[in-house]
This record gives sequence, structure tokens and C-alpha cells, in this order.
Amino acid sequence: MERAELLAAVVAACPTAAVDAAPQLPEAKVPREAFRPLMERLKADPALAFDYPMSMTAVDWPEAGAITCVYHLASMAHGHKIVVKCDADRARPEVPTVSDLWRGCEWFEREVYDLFGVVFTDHPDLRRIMLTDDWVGYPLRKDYRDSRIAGKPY
Amino acid sequence: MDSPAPNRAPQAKDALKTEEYFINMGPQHPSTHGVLRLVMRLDGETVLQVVPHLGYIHRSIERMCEWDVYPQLVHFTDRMDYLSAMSTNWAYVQVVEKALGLVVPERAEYIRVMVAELNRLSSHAMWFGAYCMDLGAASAFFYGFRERELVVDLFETLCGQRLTYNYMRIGGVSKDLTEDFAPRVRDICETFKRAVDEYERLVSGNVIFRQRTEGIGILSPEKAVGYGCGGPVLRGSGVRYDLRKDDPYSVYPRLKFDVPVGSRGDCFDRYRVRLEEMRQSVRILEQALEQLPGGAWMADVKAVRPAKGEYYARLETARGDMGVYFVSQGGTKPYRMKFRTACFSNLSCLPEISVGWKIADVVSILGSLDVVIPDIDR
Repeated sequence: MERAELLAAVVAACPTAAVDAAPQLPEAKVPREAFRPLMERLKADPALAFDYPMSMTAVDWPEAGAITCVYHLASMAHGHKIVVKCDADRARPEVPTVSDLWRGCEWFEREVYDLFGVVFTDHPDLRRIMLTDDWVGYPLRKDYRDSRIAGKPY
Repeated sequence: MDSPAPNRAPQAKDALKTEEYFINMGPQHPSTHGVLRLVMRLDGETVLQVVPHLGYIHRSIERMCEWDVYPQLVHFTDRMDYLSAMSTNWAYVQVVEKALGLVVPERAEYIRVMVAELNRLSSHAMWFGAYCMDLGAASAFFYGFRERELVVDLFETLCGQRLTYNYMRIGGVSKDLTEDFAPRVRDICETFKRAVDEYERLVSGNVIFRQRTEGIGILSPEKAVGYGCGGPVLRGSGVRYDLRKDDPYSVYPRLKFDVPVGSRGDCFDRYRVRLEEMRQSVRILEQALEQLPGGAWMADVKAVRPAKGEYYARLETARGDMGVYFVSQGGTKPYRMKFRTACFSNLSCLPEISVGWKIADVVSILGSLDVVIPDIDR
């Protein structure tokens, strides 16, 4: 599907989505309530058929008070790609899981939980994946400070 | 020689009263190829559950990337997948070049293709040796290392390093090819043509090897896609998906090669795919040498300040789909850098495909996924 057609399909499925065709990959930013239904649609709709989880991560925006979860999805059959974004409230970050739709997201979400502290609701096994279980803080948040870091941010 | 081994089905729990117990494999265990820890819940010798514990060499490379300017970040990527560091180097510089809209000289593109394919050869040869050793065939180990040494020696001449090359630059490569590069690559091609046939004669028909790999650890195509697997793990399951063809980059569209796939998705299919890929890499190398243009090997790069925005690019390393995502605020350092590595996703299917097999089969399955632990932990 072409970029414009793809984003039109996203808006049809989720009218609250803010789409942008200008960046390198077509982008759709959705509010939290609409996130899960849209992701289900992206997976199940045969015209979209996003079956391959390319990547999933998060970006911390302290000024905006948000942690943006970023999903890169691809379709094996159609060859198209999309970026879906969903903001989590930085004070109480919660986003519904999509690990049941793409099993690969189970570990991606654990990594984001570990390093950003985003809680993925209904995740089957939400534990820290890289750090020890008793680690304090979330190292990829911008305000994380650790006296043990050898190189100081300069 | 090619008699198929009996297809051992996972054994069901029988009527005997048994007690479950746990075995901890790793973080120091030869078959985990690094510091991976697997906690296995067992019924006798049958695996009921595998829980991988990662992070023993987590260095937080993604955070460190936020502190340095773009050209200084190349060496971090060496320390992820250190067995195909040329490809991980390339994955990083590729995305920054896309962000800058930089045109890389054609000669540099060909050099990159060649070193990446050479690295694929050395990585697969090393995997072949290590995998056979996992399964108890110690002599095959030396065969794999014998050929790998040729490639590693060539890289040492080229850039001074045997593993952590730091060879790619934003805009090209750090040095031009040495004069003896072309004859040595031709020599490597001839050697590998013979060597892969030799590997096949040595191992592929071996009854013990077949019994330990055929029908073991079957990964269905749907699951392989859903887990985000890439490379030989995905193609071993019969999915014909290779980023060099399906999401083409660099000069790969000009080169002819086949994408081998398996049919059953078992350990043996993943083994066959890797061996066949080595033959295809030799084909690519021969064509790239023929087509190699002269000229500059480095673009004229003034300042590396990608425009504000987000960028994603991916390529096919020896292990699969490696993607790099970064957010730029317009400065000289990235705001956020994410490495999506092949091994992380490839390993994530292990808990599912090893259930029902014996402990020794888990060693076989884990080996067939060809994981490099620093690539997972980052």
C-alpha cells in the first residue's frame, strides 16, 4: 500500500489518530484509548496485514511529561511499513500490551519496562530483562543519574 | 549417507509419578556462547519450561550514544555483534547517512558489500565450528576456524583489527582497500567453495548430527515472523525474506544471488540455510570484485548534524534483521538511539520451541539460533 493510502486506512480505522506522511516512514500517533483497537486492526485487516514487529522502543520527553512508545511494524506480504506512537503519562506510565498480537513485542516491552519504567497492562510476564530485579530507577530516562557512571554526560 | 533420521517427537509425560526440578544452565556454560543464563524446569530429562535471563553484559550502549557526537559512535556497534561487526557498523552509518541525505561514493558501497559478505562468511564458518562442537563434533570446530582465519587476517590488514573493526565511517569507509585485497578475496572465494563442500561431506550426512538436528526445535513460519526473527532463523522456517532483496539497500540490487530457505524449520534446516548462504556470499563477492569501480572511498562530510526528526534503517547482518532508530533534535549528538538487534529477537523464540525436548536438545536448539550475547544485551 502506498504511504497516503496506508495512512488513510489508519484514519478510517481510528479517527483520533494524528497521521504524518512527511517523515522517513509514515507515522500515526494515537491516544491511549484508541491504541489497542488500532493495533488489533493493523494486525488482522488483510489489506494491512502488519505481521512483523520490526522494532519497539520508547523515547523520554521530560518537558512534555510523556514517554512515547514507538512501534515499527512491517508487513511481509505487502512490504509496507508503519510507525505507530502512543504517549504514556510520565508520572504514571501505562500502555496496553500488544505482546499477544506480536510475540516479539513481549521482550521489547520488557526492555522498555526495564529501562523506562513503562507498565504494559496485561503483559504476561512483565519483569526486568536487562538489569537486576532490585535496580533503582530507569536508566534511559533523561533525568536518571548514577554516581557509578564513569563517563559523565558532557 | 542421506538416510533420514527417525523424527523424534517430544515425549509426553507418562503415568509415572515424578517430581519437577530446576537446572540452571549458565551464565558460564560453553554452549551458551557467552554469558546467557537459562533456568530450565524439568521432568526427568524433559524440558517443561525455559526461562532465559539476559543482561549479564548489559553496557547501556544506547544511553552512552546520547553523550557522544555521531562520528564517535561507530565503535559501539562493533561491540554488539562482534562476529559480524562490519554489518553492525554499516547498520549504524547507513541510518545517519539517510538522515543527512548523504550520497556515498560507489566504490565505498562496493567495499561495504564485500567486507559485509566476507564477514558473513567468517561468521557462518565460526558458527559451523562452534555448533558442531556443541553437538560433540570437536574436529569440525577446527575446520570452521581454519577458513575463518583467512578472512580475519584480511581484515587485520585492512583496518588493523580482527574483531572490532571500526572500519565504516559516515560517508564511506576509513581506508581504501589494500593492493593485495582483490587477490586475497579471490583466494578466499576459492577456498570457501572447497571448504563448504568439505563441511557438507564431513558433517551433513553424519548420523549422529542428523539425529540431533532433524525434527528438533521446529519453528513454524508464522511464529518466526511473529517473534520478529530474522536471517537464517527466519529463512530456515521457510520464509523467503532477505532484506538484501526484500528491502534492498546499497548496491545489492545489482548483484545476483539466491535466498536459500528451509522447509521444516528445524535445527537441520537452519544449518543447511547457513551453509548455502556461504555459497551465495562467495557468488556476491566474485561479482562485486568484477564490478568494483575506482574513485573515492569516502564522501566529503562537513558536519554531521541530522535535521530534527526520526530515522530508521535496517539491513541484513549475518544473524538477521538489524535496525537502528534514532531521534535527532538537530544537534551533533542523538537525542535517543535504539539498536534493534537480530539476536534479541531470534532468542525470544527459544522458550517456545524448546518445550518438550531433552536438555541436550536445548543445547542443539540454542546453537542453531546462532546467538551472540553482547548483541542481545547491548
